[in-house]
Amino acid sequence: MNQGMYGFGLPPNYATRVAPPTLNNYVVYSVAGTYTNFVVPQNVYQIAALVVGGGGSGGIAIDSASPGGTSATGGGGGASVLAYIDVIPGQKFPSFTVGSGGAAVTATSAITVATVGNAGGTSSIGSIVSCPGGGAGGATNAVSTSTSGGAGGIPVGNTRGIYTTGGSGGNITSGGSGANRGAATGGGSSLGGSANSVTFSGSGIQTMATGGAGAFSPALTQSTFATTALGGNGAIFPALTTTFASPTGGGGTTSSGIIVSLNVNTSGAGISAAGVAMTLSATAPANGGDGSTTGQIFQLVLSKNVFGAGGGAASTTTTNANASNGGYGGGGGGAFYNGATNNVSSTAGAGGVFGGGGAAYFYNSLNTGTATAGAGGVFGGGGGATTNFSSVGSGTATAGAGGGFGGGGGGATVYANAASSTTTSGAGGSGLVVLYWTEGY
Amino acid sequence: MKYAWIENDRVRDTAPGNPVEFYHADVAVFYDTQVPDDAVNGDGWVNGQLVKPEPPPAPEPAPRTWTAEDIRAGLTLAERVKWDNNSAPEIVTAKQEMALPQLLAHTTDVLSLLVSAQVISQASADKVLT
Repeated sequence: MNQGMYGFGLPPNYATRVAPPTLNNYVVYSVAGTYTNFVVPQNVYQIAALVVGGGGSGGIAIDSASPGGTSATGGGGGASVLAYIDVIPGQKFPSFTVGSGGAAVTATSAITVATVGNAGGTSSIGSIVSCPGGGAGGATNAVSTSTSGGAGGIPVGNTRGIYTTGGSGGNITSGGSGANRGAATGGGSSLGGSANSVTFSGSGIQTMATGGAGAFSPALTQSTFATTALGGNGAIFPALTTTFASPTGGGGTTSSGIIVSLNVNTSGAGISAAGVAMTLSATAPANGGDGSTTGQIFQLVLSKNVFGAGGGAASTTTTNANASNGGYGGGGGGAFYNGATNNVSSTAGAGGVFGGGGAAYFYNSLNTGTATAGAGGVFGGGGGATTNFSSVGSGTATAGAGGGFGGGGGGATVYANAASSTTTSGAGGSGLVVLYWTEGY
Repeated sequence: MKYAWIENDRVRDTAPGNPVEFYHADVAVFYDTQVPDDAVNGDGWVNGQLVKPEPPPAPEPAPRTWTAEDIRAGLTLAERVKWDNNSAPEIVTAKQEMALPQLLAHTTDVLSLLVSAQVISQASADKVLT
């Protein structure tokens, strides 16, 4: 082409020829609703749209009978698409919709409850591309029945972009001969990762919880030969399963963390290595170490540049178990309490951006208490929470909410012996539409 | 009326308008049921009728608990003298047992111990529990 009197000419097939090399400008729509007034800026010929469906909420279950069972799974993550849409400067952009997250469900009862969660709403750019929300988490009181996690949303539309089916909530598979069981699983990520699952096996009382899913991370399966609270999965690496009656730390971006035994805390998975064990003492709080790493999240989505550490796990028999949060890309730590002290709690760490929330496990043989799972980081799933009171007492189990932008909420269960208890699932994260652009071609 | 995506006899999602305009065709086909305007995600849809979920019941109040201070407050002045001066081994045990809030069953056991040891009267024990 020659430079003439009117500047450089347009390349052939200009509007669809080249993806913008960088997308320096963007606007975020994170509140559920319909938007109709976006006008394409001057000198812009292509817009990249990140579209994420709403996350599903987890299920809840309560049981006070023996034999009995409480299984509640996390909600699915919403579907995600990064779509490239050809536009003309000054045109009115198609109407688009941000789907809502599935509402949490809750119940207070002294007998039996099993309530499924709610699905997330669809996010969409007109009729060009649609991202359905994640499915609802399941629930059952039947110890012989398996329960699937909420399914991830499946995107549709052809826009030359990246497609990602939402991750599913963790599944709970029946097996073995145990009579009294309780399990809660985390929610799925809207960027493909699924939450760790549970397979019951063996006999005896079996209770445990898994953390929320991290973006891009594979899922593992925990067999219930141990009572545990798994950390949230990190972006890329999941939290490990364990054979000890103890929690695990959150997964990170380059490591899955480490496994610890009861009454030993751990730092989270490091950015370049696994965390380290920290001996619990009377003067040391039952906390793990925080993860780290920061950045502008909507640019990190495009680059997948999410290096971060998982949160530390906390394990105790005498005092509150407070796990720590994950850094960017890291899952929250799992929190585990097993003792007889009155009115103590087990609180898991939240996931960092792209990370899943940690799970909380609480077992008290005599008194009351609380288990609260960690919320998922943005795009991550919320953790599951489970409590068990073997003789007397009652309590509360609150699952982690799904991270904003399509993360699925965790499930929550309580097994209490004839005492009234409260359980609340994690809500699904709201959907998202981000419009990116740069001037030129 | 608006269009909704029905799944497992529940409203999964509602459309903001004509589904064909707001969703890709492959998703718009799921929004094939007209529901009342007040329908929201999670409502039931049974035999063509909208079923609103029952609001969760109000949480039950936490069970009452008692502490050592509650026991002392129910005693007569003469009994408080014994209580404050640990004049019987049963009082020391009772204070330890009631150091943390206890439910009715355990509180009753502790009061019965004090009554049987003639540290307090049955009337005082009944007053503590009222």
